[in-house]
Amino acid sequence: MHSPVFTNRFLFVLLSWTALALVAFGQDQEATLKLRLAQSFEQSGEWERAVGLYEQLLESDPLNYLYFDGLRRGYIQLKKYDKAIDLVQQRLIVQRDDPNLLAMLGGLYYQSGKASTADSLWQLVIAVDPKNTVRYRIVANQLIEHRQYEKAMRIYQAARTATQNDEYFMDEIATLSAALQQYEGATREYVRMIRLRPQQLSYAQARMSSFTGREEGRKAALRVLQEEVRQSPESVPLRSLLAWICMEGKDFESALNEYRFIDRLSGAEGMELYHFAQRAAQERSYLVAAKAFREVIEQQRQQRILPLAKLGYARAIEELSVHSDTLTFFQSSSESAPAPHDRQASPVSESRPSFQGALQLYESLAEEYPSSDVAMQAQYRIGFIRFHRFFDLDGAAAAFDRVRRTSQNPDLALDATLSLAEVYVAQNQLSGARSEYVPLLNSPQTHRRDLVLFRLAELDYFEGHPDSAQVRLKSITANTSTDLANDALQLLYFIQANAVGAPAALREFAKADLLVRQRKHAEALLRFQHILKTFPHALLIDDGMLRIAELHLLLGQTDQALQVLRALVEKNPPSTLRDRAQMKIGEVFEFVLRDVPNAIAAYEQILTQHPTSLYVEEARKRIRLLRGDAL
Amino acid sequence: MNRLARHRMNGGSEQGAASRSQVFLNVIRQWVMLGIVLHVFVLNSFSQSKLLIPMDLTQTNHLKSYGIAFWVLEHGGEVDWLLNYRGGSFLTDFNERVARECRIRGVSFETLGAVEATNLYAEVQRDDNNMDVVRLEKAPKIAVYVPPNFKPWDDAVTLALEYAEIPYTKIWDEEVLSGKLAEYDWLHLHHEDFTGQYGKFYSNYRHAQWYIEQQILYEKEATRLGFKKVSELKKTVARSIREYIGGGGFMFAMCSATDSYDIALAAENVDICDVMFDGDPPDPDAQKKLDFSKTLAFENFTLDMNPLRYEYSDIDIPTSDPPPQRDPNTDYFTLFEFSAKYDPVPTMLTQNHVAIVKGFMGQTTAFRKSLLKRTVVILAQREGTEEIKYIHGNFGRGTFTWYGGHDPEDYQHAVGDPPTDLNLHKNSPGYRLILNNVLFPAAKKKQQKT
Repeated sequence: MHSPVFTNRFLFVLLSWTALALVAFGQDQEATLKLRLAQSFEQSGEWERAVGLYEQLLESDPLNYLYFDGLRRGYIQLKKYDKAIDLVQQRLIVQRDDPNLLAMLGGLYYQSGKASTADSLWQLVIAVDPKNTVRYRIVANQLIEHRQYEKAMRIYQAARTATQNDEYFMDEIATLSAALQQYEGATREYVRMIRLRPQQLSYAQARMSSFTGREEGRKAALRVLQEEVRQSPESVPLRSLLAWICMEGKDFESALNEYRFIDRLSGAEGMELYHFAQRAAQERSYLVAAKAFREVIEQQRQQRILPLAKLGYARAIEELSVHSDTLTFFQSSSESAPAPHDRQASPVSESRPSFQGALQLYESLAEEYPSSDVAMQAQYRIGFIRFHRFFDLDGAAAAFDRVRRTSQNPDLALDATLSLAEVYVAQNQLSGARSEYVPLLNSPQTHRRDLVLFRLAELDYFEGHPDSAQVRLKSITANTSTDLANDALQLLYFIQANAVGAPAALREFAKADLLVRQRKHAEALLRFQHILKTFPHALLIDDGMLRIAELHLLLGQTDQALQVLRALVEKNPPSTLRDRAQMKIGEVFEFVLRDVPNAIAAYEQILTQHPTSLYVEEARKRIRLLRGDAL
Repeated sequence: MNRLARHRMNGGSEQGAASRSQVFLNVIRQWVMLGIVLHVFVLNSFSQSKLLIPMDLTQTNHLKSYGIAFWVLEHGGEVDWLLNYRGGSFLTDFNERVARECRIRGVSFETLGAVEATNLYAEVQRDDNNMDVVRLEKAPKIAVYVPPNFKPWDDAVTLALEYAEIPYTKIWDEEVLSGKLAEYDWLHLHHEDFTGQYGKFYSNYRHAQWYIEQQILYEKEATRLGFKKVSELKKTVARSIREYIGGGGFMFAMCSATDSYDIALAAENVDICDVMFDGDPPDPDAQKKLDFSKTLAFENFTLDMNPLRYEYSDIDIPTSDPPPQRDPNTDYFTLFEFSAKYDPVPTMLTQNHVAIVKGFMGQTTAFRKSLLKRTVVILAQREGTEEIKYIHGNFGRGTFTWYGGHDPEDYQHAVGDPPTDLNLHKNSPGYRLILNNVLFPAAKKKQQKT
């Protein structure tokens, strides 16, 4: 049992403790409220009132960092630098030699216009422990905060010198250098980074891309990397970075050179070259792609990619041939169709690309890897070249048929079937073509289905069934967002305009059109000329004249073509094709006869005589290009 | 004064009847001669047919029409700007070269015979018609104030100039400070921030490479030209431009170049930039220290000094931060109509083929009406609101015209957005307002009716 004295004493102590706790709690609550109020004043820009509260708070608790920092911010905002300096100096008495406070003090001196004192303080921060990189970072951060980028960079460099370690602050220096447009310096830092940690190649590329998109940045990076690679010719990451820079500048030839080294140095046995070749082909740098693919093939090491490299090489040669074919088009040096499997004696080379060469490559591939997907793709290309380049219909049909029957790739098989049907049309086997097309109407892909519908409508038209052609064409034109809708509309209107008024003329016209499709140009020409004589009042006369002019051009009869086009323009006032014919006259002068003044004059006729024509914009553009305007 | 009158004044009653009739005959003869001369003169004046570039809805390419007018002036020709006639059409002497150029650039035109041209002039100058003729005589020399890293698609005016094929010269701070402005008739201010706060993009773009580079570039330029801060440099540039206007220059500004320019002038002696912009905090009493007597167009505005807000002051309406949620389909502004004969300048600046123009946003979209100085002429306004889109004013011997918004054909143009293809907006009424300004300095000063 406790005595009453003991109980009283116990109660007294308990009450005293409770009272003290309540006072302390009350004080804490008041301080918290004041702090919140000061912060809200700060946010609303009422710095005077915020400072007043922070001063009270700091007085009640001089060691509290939140109060100290709030007051410091307030003084700075009010530009009371002297007070802010005093505040930090007071704090330094408690936290002697604190590098953050010292650097902060330097910043305040800098803001108050005492740059030399600031510099001394910052130097002091470092001088206390010159091997400590954290101190350099603290000072550099202060300098960056005060927009002293070049000085900050010098501080980082000083850290390297002091620690005799060039690995510090690579990213920081690189970023600052890039921002200061010192691209060579930035590149050197990234090179240093890659030398140290090759796995950071992608990171360095991503960072460097902020300036390699500009010519001056790219050139600077190129200079540095070429120099670095000269010093370290065996470094794969550096060569990879150099190749990347070259590709950024679309210099695939130089990039290929680097990839040759990369491939050899990394023992990739052609794999690196192969990937590069694919990239070059994607970027339409076919010559370089062809070289790279050829080198992979010549190495004969990676059996897995060898067929793909061969296919890539053949494809590149084919694309290069398109270019050379375009160049030689007007010099009439088209190639003649080779017989199937007729191997040419001359070796295939990217320096002298030809469709025959591409064909030869595809045929070798098909033979070497029979039944494979590569072989099927090669067969498809064989069919394509034989059909579109040489108009070798039997050869094309055989190739497409092979793909259609044996390919495991459904898309490729479908393309081959469509192409085969086109070949049948060219061979005048219209029912054969129809039987190829009809099953494809079930294709789940809308664009393919529409294409098949259009081809069937053309067949109807060629065969003299304009009604069924119109039905099919109308179903295509319902969806005007497709590319085919325009072609379909054009044919539909042509049929509609002539089917009732001149059905016989339309039938004849369709037959002549079929001859054009079959590339029987001379025969088609005669038939169109016959239509003009037989049906002189039919609406399609002007279409016929345009076709005749086009056929004259295909047969190399430029003067006759111009004569017909002029007749169409001058003697057929009601014709809606006069503007098109006039445009054609301009094109003949520009591209065939290379007669600039007459080409301009012809295009100007579009502007004066057909100001509402669809060709007006193109005519304007052609005139301006021909007279050398900067567009 | 004719001879008869002079004779009477000299007391000719002393002369005999014969000599009086002789004098009378002489006077008659002289009147007849004068009539013939005048007749011949008038016939000569209109003997050649004219080429009319209509600027109403029949025009196929309004923007390039301005380029044609400029081209004629450049080649020594003269152009009459027919204010309020068919949307502010252009009339020039018919010349096959001009016609050809119109056709090639896609500008539609009509040819007028002498009689038609005479009738047209008579109609335009009739007192009961709100129309007039302003003769454009000389192609103005155009300067565009842009930084070296400028891309043409950043700015609607340069886009318009490029599209209309009107030549211009790029100038920046050094040229302005070295007095080169005097060489130009017309100055356009790019989407520039004259307050030195780097467009107030800090909040969203402070880590973006372009922002950092821009800041460094500007700071270097300021240091090179002898300024401690970019804001100080920009203020000095703003004052130089004001002197240029005062001396007779024409200044045109769009978007943030408008309000930031006036803010820079008002803040001539006060630091309004926060620490992240110029390395030290702003003057806490900056607002109170603004001097509105220095500005051209605005007064009593309140600065927005929060560095994290994408806004300079309350001049801009609606505020850009947060961006307003508006339906572009219902955002239009109305051009005011002025008397062509009494107020030819505002009339020139508002020539258009429509009276209601599609609105568009910008960092500075429109100007708050209550903050405009009374001397400023309002050219266009969003009906029923405080939003003034287009203003004009005089300063000294020159003028300034300001147009709110960034790109008339891109409702809300954002950083990094692709450039507007003006081939798709050949008849843009919003862009026409820009090009009215380009031709305005070419106008021959004419004695006003008042």
